[in-house]
Order: sequence, then C-alpha cells, then structure tokens
Amino acid sequence: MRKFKLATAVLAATLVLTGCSQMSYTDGSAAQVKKGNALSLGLDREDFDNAAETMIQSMLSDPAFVGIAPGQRKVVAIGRVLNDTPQRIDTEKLTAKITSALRRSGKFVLTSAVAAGGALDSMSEDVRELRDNSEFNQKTIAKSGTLVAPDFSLAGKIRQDNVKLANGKVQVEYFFLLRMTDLNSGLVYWEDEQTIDKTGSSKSVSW
Amino acid sequence: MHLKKIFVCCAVMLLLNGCSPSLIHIQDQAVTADSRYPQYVTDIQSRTNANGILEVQITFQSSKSRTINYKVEWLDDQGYGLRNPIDERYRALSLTRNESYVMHKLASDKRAKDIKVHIK
Repeated sequence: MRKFKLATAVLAATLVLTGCSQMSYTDGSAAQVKKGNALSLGLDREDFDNAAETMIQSMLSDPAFVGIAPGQRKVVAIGRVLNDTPQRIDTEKLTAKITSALRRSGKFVLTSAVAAGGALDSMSEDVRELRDNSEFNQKTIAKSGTLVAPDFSLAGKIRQDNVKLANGKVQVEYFFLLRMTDLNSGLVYWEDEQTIDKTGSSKSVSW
Repeated sequence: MHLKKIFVCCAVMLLLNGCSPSLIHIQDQAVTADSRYPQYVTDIQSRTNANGILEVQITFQSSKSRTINYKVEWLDDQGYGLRNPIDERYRALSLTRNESYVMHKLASDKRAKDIKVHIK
C-alpha cells in the first residue's frame, strides 16, 4: 500500500513538473491564445523556418519585383543583420534560406564577393592576386573589371524582448525585420516583419 | 472465437486506415482524383502569382481542436520533386475548434508546377 502511494506521488509530481515546464507558441496577447507546443524558449530551427518562409512569401508576392524579366536577374548582397538578442545566433540560418529561395525564383542571384563585414567568400579576391604569378596560366585568371556589383542589399535585425507575465511565466517575443534596399537609389523596395511569441516557465530561460 | 478474430482484424484495418496520411495533389491548378483529404479541409485554391510563382491556399475548419502535421512537396513539370529546405519535413499546425485557418504556401521555385500536401 505504501509503495503504491509513493508511486502515485512520484507520478503526480512528474505530471505537475511536465505541465509546468511546457513551452508554447502564443498569439502574444493578454488572452495568451496557444498556437502549439514550442521546443524551447530560445530560437530554434522551427522559428528560423517560419520566419524565413514568411519573408520569402512576402518578397515573392510583392509587386515591386514583378518588373524583373527572366534573364535579367538582380544581384543581391547580404547587408548587416543585427542580432539584438542575448543569444548567439548565426544570422545566416535565416538569410541563407531566403537567398536560396530568391535565387530559385529566377529573379535574383546572390553575390559572395561583397557583403557587410567582408566577402562571404574571399576567393573571388584571392584568385585575382595570382595575376603575374608565373605558376598559373594567366589566360585562366579572372580579368579585371569582371566582378558584378550588387543591385540590392538584404539587411535587417532580430530582436528579443522578455516580458514577465502575472502568472509568473515569461513571454519571449522575437521580432524579425528584413528589408531590401536598391543600392543605386538607396530606396527600400521591400520590407517586412514577423513576430514570434513563446511562453513558458522563467526557469526554462537558458540565457 | 472466429467472430473475435474478424473483429480484431477490422479494428486493425480501421486503425491503419486512420493513420495513413491524407494527400492533396494539385496539378494544373486543380485538385487531382487521387487526392483524399479530411473534412476539415474546407477550401483549396491555387494560382500562379504576378511574379510567376505557384502559390496555394488551403482553408481548414475543424469541429474540434486538433493538431495536424503536414508536409509540402513541390514538383516540376515532369513530376520530379524540387528540393526546398523549409518544406522538407512535417510541420505541426494547431487548429482551434470552429475557427477557420488559412494556410498559404508559395513555391519559391519558378520550376514548380504541381504541389502535394501530405496531412497526418
């Protein structure tokens, strides 16, 4: 009988703890309408997928890019994507999904020769330093004036706000903002934002 | 005894049938005959948008709150799958009782001509 009581108590405690530590997506409002279970309160793969998908859909539905004819793809460079969160985030998790979709759309192509903070791939520059190196066939080395300058820059920010709720839980709000700037005119041709709200125990905040 | 066996077999078959994923196959902007999907899928629309990209809109309305898992597969004009890192795994979608939810999907690949939505 005693063993049975102990087992019941352990089971109940486990159930309570499991219930308490559950994290969920919410609508971010005072009503705290649940929108499904979340893996963690941090930014995970699902969040990057959702944010990237929203941005891609918005960009490829935007009339600003209707005029780009097939065969006249615009060159996009990655600008600065500010990580305004206490988490260590590789912002390329977001931008790589977007740029690969833009490339597949047939309207854009990504340059790796120039980007905020340095080239994505320094090799374009490195091979040019082989000029006058007799070990290399000079006819196979990229000619001067062949790199293509970008037409657009993709930049933005990821911001995080932690809000303490009256029930002792924490709502973590993630704000994704991206914009596409025409580098000739400096005009923003497209921008969009997405907010992801997660709620859970303050103990599950791992930063 | 025989009756018992038949009953168990029927139960297993029903269970297996219930577990098999539903499929919405849209070809030439129309739902194909091989599609089978639950009643809570209330509307399916598809079009090619102004940027020349295939998009689809599926409306769900369930009489009870439920979580479904879905996966989207984009196919080219020859029926070959096109890789899309965002859509390559099942994703959860929470449906609230009697509340309609509109799911909007855009191909992000100009070669996409067909779409298959797997729901389980």
